This record gives sequence, structure tokens and C-alpha cells, in this order.
Amino acid sequence: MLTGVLTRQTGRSQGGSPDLVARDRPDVVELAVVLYCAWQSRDLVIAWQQSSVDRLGWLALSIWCLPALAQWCVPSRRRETERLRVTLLGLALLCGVLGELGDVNTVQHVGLALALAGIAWRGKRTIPWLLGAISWMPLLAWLAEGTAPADLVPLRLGLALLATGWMLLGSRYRWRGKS
Amino acid sequence: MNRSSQKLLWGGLLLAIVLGTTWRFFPLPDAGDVLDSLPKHGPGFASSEVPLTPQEDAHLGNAHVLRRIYQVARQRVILTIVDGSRNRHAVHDPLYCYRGAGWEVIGRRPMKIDDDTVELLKLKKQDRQREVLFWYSDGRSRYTSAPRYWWETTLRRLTFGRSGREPVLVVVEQFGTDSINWHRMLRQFTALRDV
Repeated sequence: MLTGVLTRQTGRSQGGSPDLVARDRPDVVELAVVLYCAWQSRDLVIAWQQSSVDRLGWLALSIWCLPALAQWCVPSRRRETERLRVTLLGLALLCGVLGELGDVNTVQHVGLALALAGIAWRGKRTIPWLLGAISWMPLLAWLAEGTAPADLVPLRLGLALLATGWMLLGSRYRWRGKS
Repeated sequence: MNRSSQKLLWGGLLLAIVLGTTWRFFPLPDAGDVLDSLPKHGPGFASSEVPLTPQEDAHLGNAHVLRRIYQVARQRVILTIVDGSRNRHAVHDPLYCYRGAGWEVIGRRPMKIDDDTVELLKLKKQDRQREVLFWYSDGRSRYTSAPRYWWETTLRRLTFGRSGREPVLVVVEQFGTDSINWHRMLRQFTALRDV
């Protein structure tokens, strides 16, 4: 009988009580850290609206966020990575504080990326995905100084798709309820 | 996540919020005296104030901004000086800012003011061209590196202002389509060399 719980593709099922599924989902405190970092990065909304070099950055973020959202649909075996995730979330908080005290938006954007990585962590494959966070940051426009604004849009979206595809396909997610 | 990890994160989150909130009660001295000390007129130059547009006002927020049209001998320039003490995000790297406003940088050239290097940009937008001279000044030197500006202002905030004066951004644009002899302008506009 199917119990509807999935893990990474190891050929083994974990036995699937609803309690186990609920525990594998992000905790309230993890969501609170993400919300704090998102609030600290609220300048992104203005940049996306007003700056021609940051156009469609919101779409790049939406694409890039998918692995974190997938954590609700396809919970991973999160207990074994708990220490690393707590470290990432702690670093995210540190970035939020330093960005606030030093008034540096980019540091706060990095904090948001780290917080979402803490939610979405699925092993070493997460690292290239995390680096792909630059796709939605104004930092990319500053680094790609000689690039025309019109060329930055495909660059952002391409990076976001590449990073997210790497993460989602490479981690071999399986949907709940499938044997 | 186990209970001790949850408590650790909740504690960290609370600390972050408290630190960020109380920080606002320690405002830093600003660089308003630099803007206020720039004369409106003098030997060989005169000026008129240029008010900010509502959009600029909204973007600049609490930043202290000076904007004037200066007539220097027969040349006219628009001078803008931004003190970001109260709103650091009002000060952008001009290269990023102009590109964001739709300008294309078609040329860049360093220039010297005393022993310091400033930068002259040549910009293009559709069929319009414009030249802009810019630098950051911290009262000790002039420079054009945006990372250095960010570093100095961040350090200043983290040390409660002890690391030095707030750097200001100085932007000098040609007025209208009049071409500017920048070397002559800087020689004649002596007050600007004090910023």
C-alpha cells in the first residue's frame, strides 16, 4: 500500500506516516528566518521596478526559488543535514544584521539566498544552485558592467534556469504518492 | 529540527531584530557642512539652485543633496553633491545609475584634480549625448571606486563614525548641449576643488 512519502532516489522507501512527512517539512523558525531576510531585502522590489538593468529580476528569483518551494512537496531526509542547515540559516541572520548595520543591500541579498539554501539543502548539488542566486541580484548588473540592459534579461533568466534545473533534475526528486 | 536548534535560531532571529532596531537610535554625524560650505557665487562663477523632482525626492529620501547650475566663465554645468549619511542607498555608482536610467557609456577617461584621479564619462541615450565628471570625496582624497565608497561608509557605520567623515558623491554634468572644456572649468571653479 502506498503511503505517499518519498525520499531521494536510493531504491528504499522510508515508510510513510504523515507525522514523518510533517517533520521533514521546514519548521516555523526556518520560515521566520526566511521572512526576516526577505524583509531585509525589500529594496529588491524597487530595483526591479525602477532600474532598467534589473528588469525581470523578480522572475529570476521566482524560478530560482523553486527548489525551496519543492521542499514542501518533496521533503528530503532533512535530519541528517540539520547542522548544516542551521549553519546556513545562522549565516543568513548574520548577513541580515551586518547588512542592516553597514547599510549594504548586497549583503542582505546574500542573506536571503543563504536562508533559502538552508530550506532547500540537498547535498553538494545545492552549491551551484546557491551561486546561481546572483541571477536575481542587482549585483549581477554591477558586475556585468559592459553588458547592455537588454542583454541582462536573458542572462538573468538563463542563469536562474540553469541553476534551478541543475538542482531539481540532479537531485532526482520524486513526487509524493508514486511508487 | 531538534529543539536546541530551534531555540538557537529563534534566539538569533530575536537578536538580529533587536540589533537592527536599536541601531537606528545612533544616528551618525553627516557631511552637511561640506554641502553648506560650497559657495553659490565667487570670482568667475555664479549659480542658481535646481529643485529636485518629486521622483528624485522620493528616491533620495533623507539624503542631503545639493544641486545647482553653475556658470563658470562662459561654461555651464550642473553640479550635484549627495551626502548619503542618512540614506546611503541614495548614492549609487554613477556607472550603474546612468545605465539603469537608460544611458549607454560610450567613453571613459581619467582626469586629475591635484593628485587625485576623477573620471569623465561620455554617455549616449538615443540621439542625445552627455559628458559627466564624477568622484567620491571623503575630505582626505578623491576617488572613483564604488567598492571603496561602500567600504568606507560601511566601516564608518560599524565604528559609529570614528573611521572618518562620510564620503560624498560629486557629479558634474554638462548643461544642455554645450560642450565643456573640463580642464579649464576645473581651473576656474576653484571652490569645487575644495570638495
